[in-house]
Amino acid sequence: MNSLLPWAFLFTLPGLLLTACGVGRAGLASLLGPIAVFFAGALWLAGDHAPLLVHVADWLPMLGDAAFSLRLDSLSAVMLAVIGAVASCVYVYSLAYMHDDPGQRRFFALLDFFVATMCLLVLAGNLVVLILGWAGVGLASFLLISFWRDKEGTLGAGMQALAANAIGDAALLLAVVLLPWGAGDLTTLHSASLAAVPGGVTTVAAMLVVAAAAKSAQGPLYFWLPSAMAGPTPVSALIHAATMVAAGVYLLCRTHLVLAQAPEVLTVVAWLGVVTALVAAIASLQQTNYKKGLAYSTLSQLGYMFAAVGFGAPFAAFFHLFTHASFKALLFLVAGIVIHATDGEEELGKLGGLRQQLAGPAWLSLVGSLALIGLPVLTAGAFSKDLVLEAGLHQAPMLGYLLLGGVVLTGLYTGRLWFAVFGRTDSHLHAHAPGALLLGPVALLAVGAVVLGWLGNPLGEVLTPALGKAPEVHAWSSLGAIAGGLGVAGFLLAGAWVRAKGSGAALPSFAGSWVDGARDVSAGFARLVASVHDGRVVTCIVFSMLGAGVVTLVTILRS
Amino acid sequence: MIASAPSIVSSPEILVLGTSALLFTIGTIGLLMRRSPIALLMSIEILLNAGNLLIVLGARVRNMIDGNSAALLVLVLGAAEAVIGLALALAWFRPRPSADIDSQGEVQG
Amino acid sequence: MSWFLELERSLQATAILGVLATLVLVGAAKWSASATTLLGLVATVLAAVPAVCMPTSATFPLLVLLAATLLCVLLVRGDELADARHRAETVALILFGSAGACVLVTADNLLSLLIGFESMSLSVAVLSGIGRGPRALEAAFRFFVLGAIAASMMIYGIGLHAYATGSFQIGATVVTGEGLSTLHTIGHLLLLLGIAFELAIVPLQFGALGVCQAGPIGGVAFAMTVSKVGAAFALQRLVGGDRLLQDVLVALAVTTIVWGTFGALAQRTLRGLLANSAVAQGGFVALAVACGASAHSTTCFYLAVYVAAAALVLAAISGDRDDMELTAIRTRPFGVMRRLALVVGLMSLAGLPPTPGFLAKFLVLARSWETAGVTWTVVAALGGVFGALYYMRPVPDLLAGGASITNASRPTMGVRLAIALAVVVTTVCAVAPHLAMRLAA
Repeated sequence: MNSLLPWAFLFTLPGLLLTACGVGRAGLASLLGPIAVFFAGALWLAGDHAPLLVHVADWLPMLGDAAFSLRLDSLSAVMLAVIGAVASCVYVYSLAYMHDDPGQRRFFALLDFFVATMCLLVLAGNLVVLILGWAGVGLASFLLISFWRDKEGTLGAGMQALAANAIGDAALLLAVVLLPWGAGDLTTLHSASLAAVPGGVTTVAAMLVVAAAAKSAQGPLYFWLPSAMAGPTPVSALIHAATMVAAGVYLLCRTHLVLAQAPEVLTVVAWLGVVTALVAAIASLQQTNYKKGLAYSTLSQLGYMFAAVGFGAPFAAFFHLFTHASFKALLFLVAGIVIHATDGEEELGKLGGLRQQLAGPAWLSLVGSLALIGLPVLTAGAFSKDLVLEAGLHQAPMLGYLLLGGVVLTGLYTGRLWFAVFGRTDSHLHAHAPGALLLGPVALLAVGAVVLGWLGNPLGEVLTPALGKAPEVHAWSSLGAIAGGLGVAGFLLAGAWVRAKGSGAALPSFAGSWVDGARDVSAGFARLVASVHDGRVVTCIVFSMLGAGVVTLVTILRS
Repeated sequence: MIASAPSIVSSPEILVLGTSALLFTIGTIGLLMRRSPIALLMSIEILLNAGNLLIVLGARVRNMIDGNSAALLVLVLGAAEAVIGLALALAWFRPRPSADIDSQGEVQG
Repeated sequence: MSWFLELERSLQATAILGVLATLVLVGAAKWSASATTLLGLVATVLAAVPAVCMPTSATFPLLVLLAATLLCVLLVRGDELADARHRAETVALILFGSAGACVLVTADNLLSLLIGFESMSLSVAVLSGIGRGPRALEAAFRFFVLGAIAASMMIYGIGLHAYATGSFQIGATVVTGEGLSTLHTIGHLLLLLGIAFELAIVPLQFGALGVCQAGPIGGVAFAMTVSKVGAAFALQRLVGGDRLLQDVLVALAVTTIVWGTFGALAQRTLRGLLANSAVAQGGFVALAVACGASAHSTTCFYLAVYVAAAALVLAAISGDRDDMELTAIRTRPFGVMRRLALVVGLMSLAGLPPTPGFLAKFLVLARSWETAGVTWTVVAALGGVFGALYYMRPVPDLLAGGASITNASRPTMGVRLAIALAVVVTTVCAVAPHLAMRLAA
């Protein structure tokens, strides 16, 4: 039985086939997949904690170590449990959310595909298999963002996600290509290979960071995540808040031994994380769209995780990933309920005053918001954020203080979103009440957002073989109290701001993206190529003959 | 360079080589400058003959047994090409007012 | 019979294809369409027999080639031709052309190479020329002119080679003499450029580009698959371990990848996309070829995967006469089978997991950095990965439209067979690449 667990990525495929072939109510058959994935993780954690390895040797011949290798250890088991749990909640939620959609079978089939590739990603035992999962989740994300083809802009948003993912894929691909033995165990890579790469371990570490930054939308590669909100909200909750975007952090945790050999890269990661955390928090304050506000908040929290990796505290990063998955999925699912209840209204300026009509979701959202801010003792977010800040103040005090200041911003944007949607009373929106299928999973996640923090110490113990000795997780510390106080102050301040300015209260936006420039440049090149292919026979002949002549001349002159 | 090695420059081979290079250049210029499909086919024939001349030269200078038959073979290939090329040109230009390859085509790329 | 058994495997295949192609041509007027197709299939299978019975290093390339031929024959449709009766000619031309390709796969003699090349390129020109409409003719004429230029470059190259070495064998050594090695190098460069025409390498990409956009599906399939397979192995032997030629080919290959990627970005139609992708894929093939004989099995694997992917895409769009706008793809009367085939084919061309296209691209890049160096490999990797973007544009539409189409036209038997064959190859290469690679090695 245990030997089957590393193949957990196949568990959703039966559901995929059944759903695609039209068996039963759409999505019901798929539901078994994520539950099985959750139990695969849980079963391993309940067992004797010996890593399970699968090794199909010589799977891709011509590469040094080209085995198909899977590895189920503590890190992947915890990830499996997280993926399984969040995915199960999202599946149940989607049964109600997507019920009237004509494409719901396709929706669940794509979700199944996503869960399969995500599991493959975390179960990968070497870089080659990792890339399979890595590019697979990118593809699934693209297809799900572009799911509603009748909605304006979904294809463009999906293409943006695909483009950002392509950057990450290319980086990983190069990392594998440059390593002479191709792969090797994912945790340490291959020390002899690392030395043989031009630029040494720094190059490989840099590639890994670029890949992780693309997947987790860090730094200049942030652009796709806000656009990705064009997809259905359950997708945003599962893929673009809880699991896939965290894959970058997972990769950095997984390879932290490699990164530790390249301290300059770690410094870059720390800066990247801190800058993203702060800038994204400010950007969230500029959004007028509910889901985009949440998306920037995700970016900001991922920044905290990156910073923690940069501080050399992978456990803090991973623990924050763990708790963040619960409360950010919760916040997105509540956003979905609001959007569903108001027939697709996402603009903050038009929402508002829904506390009476959507009392349950409002309270659940409050729990999630407080967890995001990090209210000490009561919420899970406080436990993990505390660790990140502690590591920061210890390793790089300046960055640590910046992050501590960032908590005020967290409070501000969280409060703005919550008060804008639920806080005012002068709105005349009519919202219909959500059913049990929508509320149940959200409530379950809310429980997680409260209690998961107490799992910190056992988690640290389990993860010691994978992430090194974990620091002790405190329920209460003076640092935590300061951070919590700052956050709550920001939350209340935002309440006053929204009360004064109305739901649409937002900072003026100044952002123009470098992506537009890049798109224009590539379109220019495309036009250039197209202008050579103008369809005249003469052009063909001239271009071919001159081209051949130039090739010959250059070669002869250089030889 | 070994002193006893035969030099191309001092031998009559250079004449043939030069002629062949000249033919190749003429063919190329023809392809680049002319706009009539028939002229195109003629230029291609010149290019073929430039190559063929080299093969004959090689056959003679290097005592290749299969050299002359190779030259014949290339002639046959040239003929086959001409047949197909003329047929295609005829079929394509028949419904058009003038046989000019510089006209805007319909197949972009 | 004994003379036949003494021939090389590829020449046996060539002979069988040639004889049966003649038979198809002679009987063309009398037989029904399905009879000619059947005879074409029988010819292809028969041609594979000697290679399979006595395996040599050329067996796998020959099998890929003949599988590609089989797919081309299956995809021939009467209604795309200027006259439906030309169907038999199409089959015969495909067989003739792939007889030429068989020669290219193994020949060491430059003259054999030339004959193989000519029979391939003339076949493509005529295959496109008997297509319906003036666009097909225009593409055919263009392909012919450029093919003839490529052939004359080859002949000039052969002449230089013969003069410098006194032999028509590829590996012959240069006779001692002043300047002869330079002439020899120029000769080989011209040969390389000539053969690269069939791979659609920049700057000789126009021929294949036109045919892929305007030709009938059978001809397109031939130009995209069979001629690429033939040219790839011919180039592999020509380049050998020659450092200079390897460098030139790497530079051309990477340029081609980038060129094809940007070319595809500007396209609005599916055919345009495919044509430009044929260019970019040719670049990847050339990159694998440039790595020399040590990357032989990588080249084989890449080509096998590519042939299957191209066949899936072409089978899916066969019978759709108009040049399909990418934005209108949802409204096309495609059934679920053809939609899925198109999705899988496009994904494999894009090189996205879980399709084998990903493994193939990955292997090529992994091999290439030793030969091509880091810079070229980085550019190729970026080109390849971003190339994925343009193939994926129609995919959400294809998936979304599946359920709503009611008047889906049923694919013909040949299309269904082609899809089945391509799916089998794709699946094997995805799940167990080591089996395919071992077969190749």
